[in-house]
Amino acid sequence: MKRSQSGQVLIVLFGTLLMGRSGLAAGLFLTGKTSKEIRKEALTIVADEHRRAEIKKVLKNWEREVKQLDKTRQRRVDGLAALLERHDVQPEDFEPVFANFDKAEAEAFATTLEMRFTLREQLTAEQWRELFPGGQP
Amino acid sequence: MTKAPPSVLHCHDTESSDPRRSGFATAMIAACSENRLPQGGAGARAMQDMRDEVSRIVVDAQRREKLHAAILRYEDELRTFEQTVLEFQEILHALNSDPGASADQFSDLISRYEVERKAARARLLKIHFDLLGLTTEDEWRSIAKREAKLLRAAADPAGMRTTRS
Repeated sequence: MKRSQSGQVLIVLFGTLLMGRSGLAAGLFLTGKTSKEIRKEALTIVADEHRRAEIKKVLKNWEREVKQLDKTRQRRVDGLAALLERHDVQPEDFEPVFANFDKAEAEAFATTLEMRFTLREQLTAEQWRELFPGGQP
Repeated sequence: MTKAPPSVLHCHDTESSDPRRSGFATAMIAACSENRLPQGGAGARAMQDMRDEVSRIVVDAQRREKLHAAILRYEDELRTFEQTVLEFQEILHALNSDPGASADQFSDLISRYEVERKAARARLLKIHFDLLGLTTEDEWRSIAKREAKLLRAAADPAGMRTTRS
């Protein structure tokens, strides 16, 4: 998130983190890398043909899930924007909208984590650290 | 001014004792507390548009002053939450880079973040209703376009890379 993107903060806050800008943000937010970057780097690291095929499959599935998320994203944002523009809106009017966003976020997190752990199975610990260098949490 | 509670996002295995992280967070919060949202970008422009629109269309000085104060609180909430997101993202990346990280560790971290997000959302919604209460329907029709613009600016798929800058 760029520090000047207050609009993005707003949608993350009102809406949902993973639907914030694009479904692609789910994996990017988790790993710091796009699926394209992960594919390129993982395939450079991993030589085993079977594992390479599995990596490609995981990332392809991930991208397909992302496209599904993106399909509903704009519709949800439009619905929320319409509520914000109403002067007669009541707090309870936001509840189902927020509930939908929250449900979508939980599903997106679950899908992304599943992708992460499936990908993890295809790499050794050393290869994983090479793909995602960084300190311990 | 509505203030967000201290972040409950901690390092998973060290709780909040990591001096580097807490030092970083303190520095960032201190830096942010002295400035309004950075100028530039569709979001910052939309916030300024809201302020300008209030100045332009709200004739009553008392209400206008309260509206400007509410917009500042709104901006402060966004800035504070932005810090929470950045901190969460940093911890998430570190956890992801650990090949031995468990699903429970991720779930726990995400759950704590979600508590913060929902609390901040409730505060922001309260400010939104403060704005509504301070405007007539006609005034709001004009001002609300700026708030919606802020939201829609976020939905623009361009430039989505999540980085500190």
